Amino acid sequence: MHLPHMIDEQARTNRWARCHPAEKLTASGVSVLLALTAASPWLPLAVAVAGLAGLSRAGVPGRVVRKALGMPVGFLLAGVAPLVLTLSQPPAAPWLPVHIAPEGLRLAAATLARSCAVTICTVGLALTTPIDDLIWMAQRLGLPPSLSATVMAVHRFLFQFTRTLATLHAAQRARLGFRGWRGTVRSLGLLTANLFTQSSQLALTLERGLVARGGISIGPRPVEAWRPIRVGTMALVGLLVGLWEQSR
Amino acid sequence: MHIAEGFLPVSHAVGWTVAAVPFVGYGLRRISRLVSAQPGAALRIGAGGAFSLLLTSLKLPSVGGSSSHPTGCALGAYLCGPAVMAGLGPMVLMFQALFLAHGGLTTLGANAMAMSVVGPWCSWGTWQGLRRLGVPSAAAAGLGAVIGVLATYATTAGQLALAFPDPQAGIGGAFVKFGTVFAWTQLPLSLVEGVTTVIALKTLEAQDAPEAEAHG
Repeated sequence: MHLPHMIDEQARTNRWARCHPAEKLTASGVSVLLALTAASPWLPLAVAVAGLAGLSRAGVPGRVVRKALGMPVGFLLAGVAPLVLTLSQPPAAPWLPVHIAPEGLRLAAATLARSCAVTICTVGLALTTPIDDLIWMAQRLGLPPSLSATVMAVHRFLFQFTRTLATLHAAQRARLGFRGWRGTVRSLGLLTANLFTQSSQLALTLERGLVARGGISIGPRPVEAWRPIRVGTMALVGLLVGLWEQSR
Repeated sequence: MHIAEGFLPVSHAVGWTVAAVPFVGYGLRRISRLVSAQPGAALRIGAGGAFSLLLTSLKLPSVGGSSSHPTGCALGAYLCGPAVMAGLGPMVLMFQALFLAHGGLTTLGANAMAMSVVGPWCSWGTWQGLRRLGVPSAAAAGLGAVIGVLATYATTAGQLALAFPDPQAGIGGAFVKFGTVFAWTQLPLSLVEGVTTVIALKTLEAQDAPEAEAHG
């Protein structure tokens, strides 16, 4: 299963799916702020551990968490590498244009800890909160209906087009596309154009249907009864704020 | 060319968000007016956003064993206009952060500045300028896409250099350092993006797609 499908399915089926989105947004937002502004690298670590523990409590399977976090953490490890190096000749080897600086190592470690913690918070929010709930919250905070309808359309088309893309890709491969570098570039161009044409046609068909029904705009699914905000989440947020105060 | 979640210090994340607000706000106003006037336009724009989002999932082999992906910034700018892309881009970036764990919500402003504002405007400006100079449309579109990707890459390298200046060589040295690291994947990617954009536009023309006709 593709990652977007996996994340969307978990967001709708996890144990916290019916918790109020404000509760999850507050916990996630405060955790992100604490990790970003922490003076000590231990606080991002505490945020990361709290985030992973939260995902476990929400019943999100470990393989899904690993799959969702694998790529961003890999990119982060590669991304901090330039922070370790400095552009100057080391005294012991003056022919080298770069060398590893001790302050660079500290900066890379702090950036990696902060980034991992914030990534876990964002992935945690995505894995526990259906996108409709986030759009509903955004509407309550003042997002105009015209823009929320556009965001909803992007979300719904994403899953529709994933299937179209897979079909087009399989058809091209069956006709010996994506072979060699030149063939890959050519196939990619054709795939892009065909996907664009098919997606435009689908949007146009749906638009005509919408107009035929009197132009009623699309919106998020009906809001379900959410569970009341729990004391435990707020206590965890309070604990993290306390740790932040201590670290300063 | 996304800056990862939480990678930028908080002051830089806020600063880039503030810098992107006028462009993104203008784009969102254009989208909002369009959708208010014709409710069905939300579907067309939404389809454009989902298309752009899916393009980033198409992986291409790149230098050094890594992989790259097309961004669709140039194609989007040619078909929808750069102002609409500035509004649509952050929506796509938000979905990338939530559903692909690519980029991030805290770095949304910085990524939007590079990929939704600088990239599309540079592509569109180059394309328009070259066409006025009499350069054939396909060559202008391809070169516009190359310039757009390179401008995006230079902006991201600049954002990272400002956030993490080199202890010895300063911001300029850090720009060279980040630029050199990115060049391995971004230079071949810019050429690939140029070629795929031209093939996509030619195919749309051959299919008599109204979007290709309307935009030359």
